[in-house]
Amino acid sequence: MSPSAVEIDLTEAFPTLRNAPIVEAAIEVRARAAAPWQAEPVSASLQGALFDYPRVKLLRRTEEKVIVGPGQSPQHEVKDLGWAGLQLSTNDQKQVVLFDRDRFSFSRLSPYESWSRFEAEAMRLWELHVQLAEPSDSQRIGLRFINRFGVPSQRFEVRDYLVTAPAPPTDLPLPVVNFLHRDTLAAPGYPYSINVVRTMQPPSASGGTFQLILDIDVFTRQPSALSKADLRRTLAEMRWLKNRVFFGSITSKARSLFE
Amino acid sequence: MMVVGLAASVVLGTPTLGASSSAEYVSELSREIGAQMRGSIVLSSALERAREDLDELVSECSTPNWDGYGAEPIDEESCALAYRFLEGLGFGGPFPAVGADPDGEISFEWYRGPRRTLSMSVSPAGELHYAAIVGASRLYGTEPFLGDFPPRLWEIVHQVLAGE
Repeated sequence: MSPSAVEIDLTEAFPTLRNAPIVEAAIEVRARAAAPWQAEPVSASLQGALFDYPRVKLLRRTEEKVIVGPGQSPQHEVKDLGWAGLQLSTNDQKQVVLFDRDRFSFSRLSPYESWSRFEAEAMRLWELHVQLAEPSDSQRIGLRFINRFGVPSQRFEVRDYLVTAPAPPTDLPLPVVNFLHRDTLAAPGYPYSINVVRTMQPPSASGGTFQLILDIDVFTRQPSALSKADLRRTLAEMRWLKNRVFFGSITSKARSLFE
Repeated sequence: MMVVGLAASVVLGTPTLGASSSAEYVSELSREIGAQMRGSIVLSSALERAREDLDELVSECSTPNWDGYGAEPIDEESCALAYRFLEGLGFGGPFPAVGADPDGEISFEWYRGPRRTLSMSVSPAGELHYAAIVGASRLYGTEPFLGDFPPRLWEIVHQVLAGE
């Protein structure tokens, strides 16, 4: 395949991994509410409709300021700019949804069950947001899957698990103690881009293993009128890209940890 | 590995919101990288100059009648949004000239000539009102500011500055 060509095939089947390393799957749509967005009616509607999301957090816009100057100690000010929306989560806190004047987001935390369940729940909650907010054209739609897995060793080669790994300078083979790689990829012919972040989380002070993180964020900044059909298709295409990036980023050794 | 140029509107911006501790860990690392960039005089000079211009403007225009003709002081929420707006342009810009309108809103201008200019103001309600002249075309409208520079406006910035 030419390095500049990609063809999204929604009929392609991807392997099911029994122990998939997904710690979070998230969908976000950024669009300004066109309907009035006021605390009491919105809160009442959401809490009345989402009994399965009983944990409620009120979100407020704040502005933080640090003022420094000669002869004075720094002053930290936090200003409350008012109500912004609600974050609701299930009792087990595995599903988190955010309804905001400027965005909607839904996250499923580990254990991730399936795309069909995740997408169905996201669309159910999105439709509720549409009824309340009547959002205008989107400025960004994102589908993000964060993968994290432990490496069963205190000394290891990252390249044994990730296709793209950090490398010390030529002729200076120093050990890597941490890394953060962020690539932004284009999908020619499609309005999508993909941020791929690879990094490592060392064991905590109390012990544990090194954790490798592969964070894949597929997004589009092409304005969209946000019909349900368009959004579902967009998410399906993003999911294909995410899967291709994931399976193309891990080695067979890593994959054996997930099967 | 092929590198292709992409509009800044695609490359820049905040990631899809995450709720997990891993999302927070990645965000924290990104903030550290940002702080490291700011520590470089070379890499952050353009952004710092833009912030200093805004600081000076806020200082000069924060009292009523700052222009001697009854102008409103700079609105606080407009000010907060203006700083976020500059941050959203990234380290490379291109950064606009900053000004204040008599109604207290902060304005930005990209100017390349009398037939290539874009003016924009940030309202306290989080809207970007813009007007542009690009050759024979006149463009104007309003875009919501959701934290990142709107893609439609990036296109206009590039049209105004094309060939620079």
